[in-house]
Amino acid sequence: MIKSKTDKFRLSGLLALLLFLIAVPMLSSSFLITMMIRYMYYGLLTISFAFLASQLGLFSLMVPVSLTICGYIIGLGVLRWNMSIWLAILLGILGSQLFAALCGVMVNKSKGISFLMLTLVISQLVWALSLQWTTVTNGTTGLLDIRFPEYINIFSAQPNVNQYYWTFIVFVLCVALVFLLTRSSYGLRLRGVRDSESRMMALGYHTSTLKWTAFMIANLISAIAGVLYVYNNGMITPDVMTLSSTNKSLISSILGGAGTPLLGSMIGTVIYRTFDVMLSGLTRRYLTLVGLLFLTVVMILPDGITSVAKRFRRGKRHE
Amino acid sequence: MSKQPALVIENVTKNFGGVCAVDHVSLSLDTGESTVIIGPNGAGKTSLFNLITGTYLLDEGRILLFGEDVSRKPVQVRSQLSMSRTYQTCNLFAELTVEQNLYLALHNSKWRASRKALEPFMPWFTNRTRKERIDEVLEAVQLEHLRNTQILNMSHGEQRQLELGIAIATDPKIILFDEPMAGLSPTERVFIGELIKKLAKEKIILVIEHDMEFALSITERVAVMNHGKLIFIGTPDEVRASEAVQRIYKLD
Repeated sequence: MIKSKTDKFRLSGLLALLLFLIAVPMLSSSFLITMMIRYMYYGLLTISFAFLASQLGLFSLMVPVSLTICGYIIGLGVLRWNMSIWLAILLGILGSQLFAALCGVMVNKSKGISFLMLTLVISQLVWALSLQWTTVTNGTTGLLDIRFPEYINIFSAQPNVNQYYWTFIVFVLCVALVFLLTRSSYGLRLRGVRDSESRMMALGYHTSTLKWTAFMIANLISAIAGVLYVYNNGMITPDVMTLSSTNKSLISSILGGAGTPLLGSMIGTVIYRTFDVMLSGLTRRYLTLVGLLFLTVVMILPDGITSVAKRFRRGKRHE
Repeated sequence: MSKQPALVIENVTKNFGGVCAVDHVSLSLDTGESTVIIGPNGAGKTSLFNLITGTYLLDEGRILLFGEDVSRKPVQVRSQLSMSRTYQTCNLFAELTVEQNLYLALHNSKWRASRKALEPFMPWFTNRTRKERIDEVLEAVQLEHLRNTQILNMSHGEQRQLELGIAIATDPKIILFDEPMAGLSPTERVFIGELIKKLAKEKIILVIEHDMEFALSITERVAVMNHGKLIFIGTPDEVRASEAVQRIYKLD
């Protein structure tokens, strides 16, 4: 499998990154650990968006829907129905997938702007529901104090180190899944649908099934981000479902480069979330600054920050 | 069953709103009956192709492929019946490479994979069965040197060559060519022309073409369409002699 020098270079880079990420809790402050955890679960949300955007060319504005549904089901399961947390997680993922399956049937008939609008409508519906169905969702307060059992704290005595490692394991598994999918024949088929759906149909592919499954996978990743969100914050509120929360994934993805679902998403998420936290401590007008950063990147690098590497490579080939 | 011609089109009709794009067209094709369709723009030639492949569903009539009635079958099912097509304007996977385009083209073929069930989950570039076939096709259409090039970085002529490659990749019995020579340079025309002539000997082909000289050099059977109707079928000489055709083309 490993043939060229660049592959070897990439592999060693990846190994170094993994080692660094494993070592983070031993090296750094609890603030950085908390930030790293946020990067990971918000990163998954961006990956969910970028997976559909890069593989199918569909821009879904309902990225946090599965996160929210999954989170609320876990909360309700533990707090109201006295379930074990594991059963609640299972139900949360199944429930959000069921909702996604229904939405997928409707949404996959459309593309482009109409897909964007339909997913926006669904996301706003779920947000309104989480806010207004107060008997179930507690309204703006949300569901608080969702605890995970003590016995999973096997890595360290510090709670946030345990959170870090569990989040890290789940994150790596999800990233590996998306990585394998994009390299598989299935991923190639999705990109075929993105470029020419009519040709794919003429070649004998059932394109609506392909689109539907991809939609489900994107929502599964979002639901897993929901499990991690609840695990790390111990609560779920309608805040995760606001339009601005959707925008954050969208902006992160475009900052990093929507064409690269993994690297671009992660770079974009890290930059955006860092700015978000750092700047909001400095000035109340931090959103203006984030907007300016976004504008600059989009104007100078329309394909996102990861396209710098591509430009560099292309330049070298011409020498 | 076996005596049925490969492709039978019976009274096929398609309306778009008030416009009758294809009007009771009947045509049958079998080995040795490769046919060129000529006719002015808007005559319904491409619409007829779309009806045969299933991109449009027909309003009236029926279509038999190897004796099987496919009139109501979706496009995916028809593509399993050893038929492929090219498009008038290049319809390739623009952001994929030549090799990836051909990989996707081999879906309904005996070169799909040694283990069909596992195929979607495996990395696409490890599929040896398809790779061997891709090599053969690339050689046939002379695109070996562009194997890893993205389509959007290729010239129009090269894209047309690949259109052809995708059409022959599955080794189909029937190939529909929709203006394969459109927008090609003289040298490219020669190459593609030779390829199609070679194919016409081995397979059943249906070609839409404007270039009369080339069209008549492929096959001895010419169908003329105008206003959705098939107005004439015959040999090139008969076509030249026909008054109806002369009226459309204002031939000297």
